[in-house]
Amino acid sequence: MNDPIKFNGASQTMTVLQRLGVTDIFGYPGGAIMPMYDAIYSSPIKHYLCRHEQGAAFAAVGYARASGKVGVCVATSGPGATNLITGLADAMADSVPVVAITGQVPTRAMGTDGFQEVDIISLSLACTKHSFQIRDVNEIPECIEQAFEIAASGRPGPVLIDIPKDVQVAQPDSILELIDNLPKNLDASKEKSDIKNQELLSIEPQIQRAVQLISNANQPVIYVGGGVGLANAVQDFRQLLENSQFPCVATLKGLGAVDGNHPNYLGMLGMHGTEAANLAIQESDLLIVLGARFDDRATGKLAEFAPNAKVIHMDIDPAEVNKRRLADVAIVSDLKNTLPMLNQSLLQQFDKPTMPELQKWQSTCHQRRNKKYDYNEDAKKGIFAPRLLELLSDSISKDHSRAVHVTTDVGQHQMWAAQHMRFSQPEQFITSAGLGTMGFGVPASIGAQISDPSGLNICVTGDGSFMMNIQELGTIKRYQIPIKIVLIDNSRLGLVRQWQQLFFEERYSETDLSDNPDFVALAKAFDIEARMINQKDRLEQSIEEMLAHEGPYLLHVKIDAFENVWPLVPPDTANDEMMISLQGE
Amino acid sequence: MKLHNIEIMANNQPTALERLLQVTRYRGFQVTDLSVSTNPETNMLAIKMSVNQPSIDGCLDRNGIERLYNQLNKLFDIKHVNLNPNSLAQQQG
Ligand SMILES: Cc1ncc(C[n+]2csc(CCOP(=O)(O)OP(=O)(O)O)c2C)c(N)n1
Repeated sequence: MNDPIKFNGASQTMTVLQRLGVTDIFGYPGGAIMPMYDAIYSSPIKHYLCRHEQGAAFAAVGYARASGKVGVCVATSGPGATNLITGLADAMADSVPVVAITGQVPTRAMGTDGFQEVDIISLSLACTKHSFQIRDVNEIPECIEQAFEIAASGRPGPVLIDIPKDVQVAQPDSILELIDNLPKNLDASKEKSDIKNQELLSIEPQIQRAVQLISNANQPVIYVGGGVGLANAVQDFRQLLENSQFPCVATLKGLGAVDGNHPNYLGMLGMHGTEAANLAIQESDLLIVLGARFDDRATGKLAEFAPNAKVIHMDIDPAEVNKRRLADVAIVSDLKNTLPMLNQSLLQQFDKPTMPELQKWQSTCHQRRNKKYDYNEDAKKGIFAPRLLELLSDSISKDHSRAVHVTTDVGQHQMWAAQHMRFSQPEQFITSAGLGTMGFGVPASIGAQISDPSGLNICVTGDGSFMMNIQELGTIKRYQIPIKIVLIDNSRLGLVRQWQQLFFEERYSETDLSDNPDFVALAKAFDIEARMINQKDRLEQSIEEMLAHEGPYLLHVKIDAFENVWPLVPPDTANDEMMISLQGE
Repeated sequence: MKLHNIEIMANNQPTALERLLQVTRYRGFQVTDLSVSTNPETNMLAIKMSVNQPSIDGCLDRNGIERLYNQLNKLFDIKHVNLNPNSLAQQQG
């Protein structure tokens, strides 16, 4: 039991993680990673056993997205490693800093189709920023440090480190002490800051061109994406919003960058965006695009997207500029540096908020913003999910005592949450945006909760998605993770069903889930307090009950199977041709 | 069909070539010529590659070579990418 700690590659790995400030990791053991688990046994880093490697990867993603720290997940070789892949692809699509450590068969067995051998390096190349395989135990410290640096720097993303079993048990030439400084080359970091200064100098002319475009614009729109939050530039962005008084739209990942109640905020753009946001973009003569990448769900039919707009594109990733839409001015650097430069130049050279064309534009946008749809809610017999989410949003925004994170799964419930909940910071809303991965919500919420144990974490899920990582209820039970799961159950794969209704002649192929299990009983089997509601008069009370409950909780909300998400821009259609509803709804 | 010549300096790492080829394919290019040599002094790979972009008449087409250039430049093991100077001009012309 109290054997002395072995000094080997595995314990070295844990020491390096500790020195990098890692306090929590998520994983699942197996043969080729056993030496690491032996080191985990005596490490002060807390390991959370998820019940599937995909759950561990999403927990690391949720942890990273809620806290801004690098999330870490661990798996064995072969099937353990392949089970991580979806999580890595998700982190790649949403620019999330995650480091995945996988065991590998011993070096001498590699390349022989050994038991549980899979070429995870090759499999991972398409969904990581970089993948390392460590062949020499002495490379462990530098390699892991580099992996963290790559994951967190520039545009963040996942990095995989594959460590063969013999490297995990090999003796390193020197044993790292916790207090040792990592080999840092001071001159190199000075060089870096020189490069940064040069880069910013070379950006100044671009800023001037941007100011010129802004000064000449009559119908400008600020288009904010996830990059603003990732760059920690929310304050700078909000200053731009105040200085310019321009209307603003957000992508799915940009939600929360601007406070949902801000008067110039027109809502989300794109396929399920608001009419106000989509029309503003389509009529705009200048888009100021911040940390966004013109995703096809945001732009609709690209050739008809914002046809009259010039584009100022500010992003840290040069590969996003001119990728889907040519930029008239591209400012490629960290928004944390470039937004203050733009703000300053605007303060000195621009006092347009009073110009009549602009005021006219603002009032057009405001009018559309304030237009309310009549969803005919009173005529609906059952619970109306948008209403539920509005009530939930109101309740949690009153709670200032703790940080709030809302994760979602993928489907109608996700779009309703994006449309009807209000967020005051981008990291409050954690959703699988780029990859759209069902099964994300519960494990991501677990990770977010572990990153901030006193926070309030809510997972809005659907009956299809919930079942995709249902095994993580076991993780919730073991660690008593007090997340609140709001399961919006339409007994259908709702979003797919909606498309079948609209675009496939109501041929409902394989989207019926009316034989769902008893979710309340299922939750209770994992000692999770649970309750089902299907009547609207109980809504407020049920939400309050859930939020007041100390431990984990499942609120199972049954809704009508045929409710749809509106508005909707049909695929390959311009964003101003949105459908508002169907006849009779 | 547009042919582009690209010169690349990369770390001499086992995955460098594989990654280069993966990104090249994914971003819509075919390799028509490839030569690789190792510089024993710097332990860097010197790669010369010719690629063409089959026309697919989509948004991928328009700035294809610029996109490939940017994506290759982002790769950790690729230290330098040099595009045949005609490539960009040809593309924009
Ligand atoms: C892993 C995965 N498989 C399939 C899909 C395709 N898909 C998108 S939404 C959806 C239905 C989701 O159903 P549910 O979770 O019940 O949510 P609802 O739309 O009913 O709110 C499906 C199957 C996906 N996004 N992810």
